[in-house]
Amino acid sequence: MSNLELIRGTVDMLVLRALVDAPKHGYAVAQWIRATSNEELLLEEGALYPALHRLAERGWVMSEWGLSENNRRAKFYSLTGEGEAQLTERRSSWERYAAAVGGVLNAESDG
Amino acid sequence: MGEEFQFHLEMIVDELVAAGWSREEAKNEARRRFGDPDLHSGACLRERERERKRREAGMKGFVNWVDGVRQDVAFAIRQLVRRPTTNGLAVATLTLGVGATALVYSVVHAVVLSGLPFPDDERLVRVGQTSPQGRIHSISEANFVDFRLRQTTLVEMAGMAVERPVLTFDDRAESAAGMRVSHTFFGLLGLDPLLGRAFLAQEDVEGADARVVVISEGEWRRRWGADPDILGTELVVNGVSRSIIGVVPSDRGWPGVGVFTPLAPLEVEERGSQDIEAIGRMRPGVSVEDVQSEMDVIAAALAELYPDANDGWGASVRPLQTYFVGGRQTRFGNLLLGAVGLLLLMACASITNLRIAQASGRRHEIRVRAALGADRRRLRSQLLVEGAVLALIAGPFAILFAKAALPLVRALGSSSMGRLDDATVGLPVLGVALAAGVITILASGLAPALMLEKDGGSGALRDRSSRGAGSRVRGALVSVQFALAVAVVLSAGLMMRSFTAMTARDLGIELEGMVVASIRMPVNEYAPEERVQHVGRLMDELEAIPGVVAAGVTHAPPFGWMQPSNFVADSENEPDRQEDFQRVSWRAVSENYFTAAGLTLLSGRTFERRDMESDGSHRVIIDRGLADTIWGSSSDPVGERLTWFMPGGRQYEVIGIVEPAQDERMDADTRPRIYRSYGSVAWYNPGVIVRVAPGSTSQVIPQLRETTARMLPAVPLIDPVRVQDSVRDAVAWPRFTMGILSAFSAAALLLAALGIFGVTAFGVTSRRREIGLRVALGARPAGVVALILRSSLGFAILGILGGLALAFGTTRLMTSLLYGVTPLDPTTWAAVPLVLATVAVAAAWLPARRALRIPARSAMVEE
Repeated sequence: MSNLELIRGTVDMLVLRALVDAPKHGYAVAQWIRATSNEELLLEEGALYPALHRLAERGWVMSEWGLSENNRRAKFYSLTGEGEAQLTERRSSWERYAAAVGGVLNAESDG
Repeated sequence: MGEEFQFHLEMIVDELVAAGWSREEAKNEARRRFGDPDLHSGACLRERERERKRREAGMKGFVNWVDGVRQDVAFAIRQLVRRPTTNGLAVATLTLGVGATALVYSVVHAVVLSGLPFPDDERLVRVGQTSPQGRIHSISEANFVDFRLRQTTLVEMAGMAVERPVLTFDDRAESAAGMRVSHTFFGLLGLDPLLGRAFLAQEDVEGADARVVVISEGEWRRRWGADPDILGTELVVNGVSRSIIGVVPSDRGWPGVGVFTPLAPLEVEERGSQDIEAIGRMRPGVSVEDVQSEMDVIAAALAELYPDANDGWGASVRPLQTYFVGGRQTRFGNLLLGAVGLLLLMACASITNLRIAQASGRRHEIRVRAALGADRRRLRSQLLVEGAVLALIAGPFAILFAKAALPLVRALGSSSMGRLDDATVGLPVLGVALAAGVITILASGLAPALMLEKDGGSGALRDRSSRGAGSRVRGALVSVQFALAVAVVLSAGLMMRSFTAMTARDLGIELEGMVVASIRMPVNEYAPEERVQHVGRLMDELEAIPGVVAAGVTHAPPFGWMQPSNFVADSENEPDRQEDFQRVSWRAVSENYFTAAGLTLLSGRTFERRDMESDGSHRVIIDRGLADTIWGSSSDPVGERLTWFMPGGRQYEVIGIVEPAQDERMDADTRPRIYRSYGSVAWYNPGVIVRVAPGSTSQVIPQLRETTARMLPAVPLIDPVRVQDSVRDAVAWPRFTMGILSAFSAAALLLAALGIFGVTAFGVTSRRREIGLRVALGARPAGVVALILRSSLGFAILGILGGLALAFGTTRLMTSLLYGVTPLDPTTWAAVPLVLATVAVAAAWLPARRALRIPARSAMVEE
């Protein structure tokens, strides 16, 4: 199975989105993204954890230790207010970008 | 992080086990999938560290920015030092462009643009009258009084009449620059007296006969040694003793005037003689147009009240600035500014060219930097910083250049060119220089930045194709340079041709050995007949001085401000309307004037002493031009009669014909001339023309003064000068403009030559392989050089053609500044493209020859 290569700059946005509904641990974030994208986007651990740490350092997510669904100690990440704002902003510019690229690619040929 | 990763691994294991893997295999697989935990934790730490730094940088943003700029500047300086030749050339070009701009602007600012030395000078206007023909005239004294009383848009109005009063001291008489002014004059201009007071309203009415005088600070210091007790001292002005009541700082204020007396306008005087000037200060919020419309209404009312003198006469309101700075002066100023603008554009093109050449050479470096993560903004700012460093180096040089050249430029001009001596490299000039520098750097950084970006944006661009784009742009820049150079050189060429035509023409009068002065007879003391007698005796005495060949007077000296004209017609065929009379210029002269001026008698006789008497005043002498115009070129109209001024006017008898004299303006031909006898006018302030034997001018001049003082103690001889000096003044602007434009032409040719040299040299270098190959395949050397030359010269020729088209539009604007040559003068238009083409061939030939030295095997060795 070959996954799509993640475009630089989208990782942060995906991670933030993964945390919108509920706090998640790292594994759950990766799982959620994989599942929601129909197995197309695979966020490797080597990218996931630096991203989580980066976002934590920026204050867009915060982390706390808790118990996982199978009662193991795990580090849960949740969105901060600033993280939410950042997500909204990135999302709208991404949507414009995607629509624009789509428009170009689907343009009718000039002949 | 260990526990976090451990958890993650266990979750993967669970997932795999649930999918049917054995626990052992699942553990191995999970470890494989997860990757190296140490690597991940390292990445996490680095990420944290980087974010922390960024935050700190955000807080210390400015410090960081400065640090970045410092790095950029250091890098830029290393870059500049590494390429001393091209960067030296860029600095020199920038210095030339910006320096020339600063220089020309400082001159034009001083003589054309800068305001008057009065507070709020932009609120000052000159109010004049317009004739039924639409010409702007001065104003009559009586009309001035009415305009002043009726108007509401001006805070105040003042009248002034320029005169040259005679000041009589115990032992001598002297002439001074003077003015009769309204009591409102000093207050209106914002000049407060240093001592005493200005005139009072009651001193400024007709018949007041107030025996008061105000002197300038300059006169006070010169004549009275700045005596603090000067108020109340008596000063004899035009034979009337007046009490000094005030000292004003007017040497700085009203240029050059030293003695002020009350205007006391004649309110019942004939309104038809417009002989005083009126100025006003506008009320706040009032525009020149507002004043104009009000004055129009007043003029219409006055025309109705006094139709004899005022019918058809309107009003003219213009900023006072235009009274001091003539339209012609402004046009010369604009020409110089336009030319320096073209030169600056050329400098822009040159620097762009140099920087594109550098950028092409640096493409590798830029690629590496881009690959190492320098983003485009960073690269762009790097180029900008490099430009700014160039400008910072060139800026002081440009200012030094302007400062050093300014005295030379001032020496090229003359004192008749307004306030040229006030030209300094001051704040406004520095501002213009700064703007010129910034524009040049931004403009010249634009093309290289765009090209680099294109290059960096798609690394796939092949070397050769982008090099092709670079040389196309550079070629286009060479075309632009040649086009601009054509425009600059053409305008200089036209000015040169015009100046030559001006100075080479036959003036009729002989300048060499001619001294011009004037005398000022006190009006109140001498009746007209006495003036004629005095002048006759004085001329006899002057002619007795050793070294003096002849002496005569004229009521309007050569190249003076007074250029009287009138209308005449053949009395035999007198037209019914004055419009059909011949417009002539005229002079009232004494008997030896023609010898003194060096004018040859062609027919009849010149004046004799008896023609100066009142019964001889009907005799006139005309020039060949007037004889041709009225009676035809083969006529000898001696004995014919001319009607003066209007149908039924006074008739004059032609007694002689002289050669035409071009003695009014150097840059315009004089109208047909008629000479009346000095006796018929007895003008109180005539010019004295003295013809001096070769080599004795400097001994004669003091004796002229001495003799006049001995003969007529009450009559000062004013400013005896060689006429060449006043001719120098008459052609000051054309000569000045020609000088500056010639220097610009040299600079323009140099820049164009450097441009084509650089592009050709670049072409040879970048086509090394191709040339080597051709040589290896047996191409003839001449053919290879021709190949190189063809592409370079193509750009030059394109530019020259474009320049001719450009100049076709621009030189037309010079029409009014040219004498004896049209803007489309065939000689200039043929010569300039030839000069440019020669420069192009020579400058391209040198580097093109280098192609011959490229060894054939270089084709194999390189790449």
